Amino acid sequence: MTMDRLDGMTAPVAPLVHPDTEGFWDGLAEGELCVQVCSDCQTPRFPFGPVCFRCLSYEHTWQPVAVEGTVVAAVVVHRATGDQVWAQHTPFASGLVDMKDGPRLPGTIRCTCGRGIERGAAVRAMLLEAAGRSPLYAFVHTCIDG
Amino acid sequence: MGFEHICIAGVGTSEAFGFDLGKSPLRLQVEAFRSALNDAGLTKSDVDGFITAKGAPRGVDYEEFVLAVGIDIRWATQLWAHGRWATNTVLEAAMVIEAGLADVVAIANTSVTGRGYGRHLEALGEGAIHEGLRDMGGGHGENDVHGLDTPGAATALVARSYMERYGATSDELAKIAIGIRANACLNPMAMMREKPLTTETYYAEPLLTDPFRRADYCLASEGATCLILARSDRASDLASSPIRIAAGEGIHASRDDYVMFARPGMAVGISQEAPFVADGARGVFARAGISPGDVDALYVYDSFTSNVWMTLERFGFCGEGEAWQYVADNGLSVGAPLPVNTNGGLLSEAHLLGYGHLVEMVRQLRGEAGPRQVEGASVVQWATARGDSLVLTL
Repeated sequence: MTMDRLDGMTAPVAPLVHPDTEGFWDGLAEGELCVQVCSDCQTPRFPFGPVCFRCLSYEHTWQPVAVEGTVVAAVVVHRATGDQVWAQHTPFASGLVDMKDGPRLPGTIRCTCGRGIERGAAVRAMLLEAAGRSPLYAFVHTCIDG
Repeated sequence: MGFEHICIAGVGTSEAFGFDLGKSPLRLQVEAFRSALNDAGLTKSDVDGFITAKGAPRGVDYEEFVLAVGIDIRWATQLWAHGRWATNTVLEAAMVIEAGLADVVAIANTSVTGRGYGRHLEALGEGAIHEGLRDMGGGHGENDVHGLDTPGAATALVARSYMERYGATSDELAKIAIGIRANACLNPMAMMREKPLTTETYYAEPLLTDPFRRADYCLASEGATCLILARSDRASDLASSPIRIAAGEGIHASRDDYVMFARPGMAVGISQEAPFVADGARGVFARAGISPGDVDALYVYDSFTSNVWMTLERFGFCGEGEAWQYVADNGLSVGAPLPVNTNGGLLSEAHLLGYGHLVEMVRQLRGEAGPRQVEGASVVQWATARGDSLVLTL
């Protein structure tokens, strides 16, 4: 499936793209949300990286997964105390989402009704424009998504 | 089964803690070193081992310190700039002495900030710790590209998750900040000693990352500490009562125990949500020959208020999901059944990387804590949400 694009918004911080993780970002550039799976023991690998945490194999594939997920926990940042590029975006929500096909992914959450940051809220990942070679993703609550 | 042959012989700090002390990290560290030597009744030539973590934004390298104070050492360790190593440095110093690799080990640490000393030496810049830039998530659960780029914002996620799961509210979070601030008001060295916190003033401060307000965050401050460890058989040479390390427990880390200020089972970072079951961290009690009920005062790495909940549960001072109620019922003050962070902690004394708590523990055991003295304190414990711990006794 190809991910929908979240229009009119740009991520202020571009992801670092490097050999250990580039399969994920390359997937997003092609409109797919992918996870890394060990070719030897089939363990989904997260955080993305150079080796399987279970069997220490290097071999892996990047496999597209469903974009739907459920909020585990989320917070609203009211004041940017780190990188000030976030200041113009406050308040914004960010948290952790358990994807329908696993794994758990971090991400910002777009929501207008306020319930999208609650535990158990249904969200889906959409593409978000970012500086650099790859787009990013963001989660969108069903209140926006329809 | 502790370190029977080892003692904490002396402790010391910089002359003050503050947001901008106008002193170099080296100067602050020397102040702490001189103060600890004086406290121990030792001279610098006694010190032949040195352990430090490079402070933020730029602390003191071990060889820079050796040159400055003119000591001749045969053991040095230099750790990553962090408030993480208080337990492990003490245990390492004890092991080094036990193994005969040094006789007297000084553990000295300094923090300065970009807004303080960093302004006087421009090249330091803000000196950010780059842990938060791990692109797959930092040790506190940070994730820069998704806007959780500070330990505070990431730990707010731990607090939020706990509150949703167990029914705690901001009122109970506030009680942690208020209780520890009340202790700071009894500590003449504490930066917040003249700023008592009430429920009203807590809520008057803005939300930074919901549910955290300003008072839920530790101080970003400047200051230094020094602890000196020696063989117990030197006790007769010492100026102060030697303090015994009854037991220790090192830092725990695993895929299920990754986010630093969450106990296991909290479903933050990559760990799955699970009921919390007592883990190996509690082994410290058996090794010290005590139970949690024997602890006269507890010292928690309180970089953020919710760490207190995590630590109380991890070490069994209350059951899973009960810490918020425990704190609401019992408080954390010097007069509470279990006083917590009688120095005012990282929240209200100063961010001394955890070593300020250890200095306070030594003073409590010696009965030197003045208006904040816990009467009859004979067993005090340092513990963190990460699972590391020290039990100190007379």
